[in-house]
Amino acid sequence: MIITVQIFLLMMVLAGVGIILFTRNIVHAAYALCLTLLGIAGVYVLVMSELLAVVQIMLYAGGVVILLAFGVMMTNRLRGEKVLSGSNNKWIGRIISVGVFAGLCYLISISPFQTTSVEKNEDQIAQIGVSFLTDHIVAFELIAFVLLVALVGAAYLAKNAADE
Amino acid sequence: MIQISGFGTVLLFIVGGIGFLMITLLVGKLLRPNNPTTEKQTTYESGEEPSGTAWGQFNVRFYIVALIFLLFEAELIFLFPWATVFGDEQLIAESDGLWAQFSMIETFIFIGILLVGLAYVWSKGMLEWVRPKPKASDFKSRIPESAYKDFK
Repeated sequence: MIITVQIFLLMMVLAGVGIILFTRNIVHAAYALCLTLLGIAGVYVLVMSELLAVVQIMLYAGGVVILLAFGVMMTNRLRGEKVLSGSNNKWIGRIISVGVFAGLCYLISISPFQTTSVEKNEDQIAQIGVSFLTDHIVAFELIAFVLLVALVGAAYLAKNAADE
Repeated sequence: MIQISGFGTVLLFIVGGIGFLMITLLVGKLLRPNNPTTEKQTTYESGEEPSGTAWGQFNVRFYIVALIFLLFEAELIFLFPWATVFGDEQLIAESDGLWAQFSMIETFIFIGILLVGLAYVWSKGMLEWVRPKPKASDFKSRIPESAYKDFK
């Protein structure tokens, strides 16, 4: 059963990535990105990280993809035509991406990941909540400041770009 | 066999939903007659003639609102773990109610800091929606107003 789910998620992620790589229509690429991110959320569930899975679905599949779609929808060169991406610098792009892939593979292979099975933790989210309010209270409040800075900065930049 | 809590059900729903949709569409494709005409292939058959495409340019306001939404969604994520524990009876009993007060105050500070951001975007008018401005026409009719009264 679990292996079926793993294969299903792998296919989901790879299908999304494949569409993103080979489609020239940016809107289709955004939808495919949504598929990939949902697949990654499934992977988080499989490795017992439920909060991360929820974050992945809400923030990435729900938020970032919408932001991307809006970004495509309001591009200036869109005048009743489909937005197609060109492909430039193909060989440099291929070399860089293969290099990054090889580097990541090397990093993953030398990293001391924990390979023993993890015990399922029933109230993982509650434990995170307790640690937010006890050991990591400063970090918890600092997060609010970081979010505030990000909000004001993003809104300011977007407003300026909109007024131009 | 690992137990994946309620997420197995979620996956079952996703697979079931996709499966039902696929089967329905496939059955429809097999059963229906395929006889397309130009009339049938218009966006609204026997309706409004569409002009241009649906891929128009959206207002940039959508983007700003989506950005603000994303930031507040990130805030919401951090409130999830808090929401599961702030009313924990055992923790409150162990700390003589101090836990409840502390967690409430800390979280109100957390939300309060973000509210400053909300006040900022609100005061800068970023939440205001664009309304179409009614344009007064400067067209002057050569037919005098009295003519309408005569022919009433």
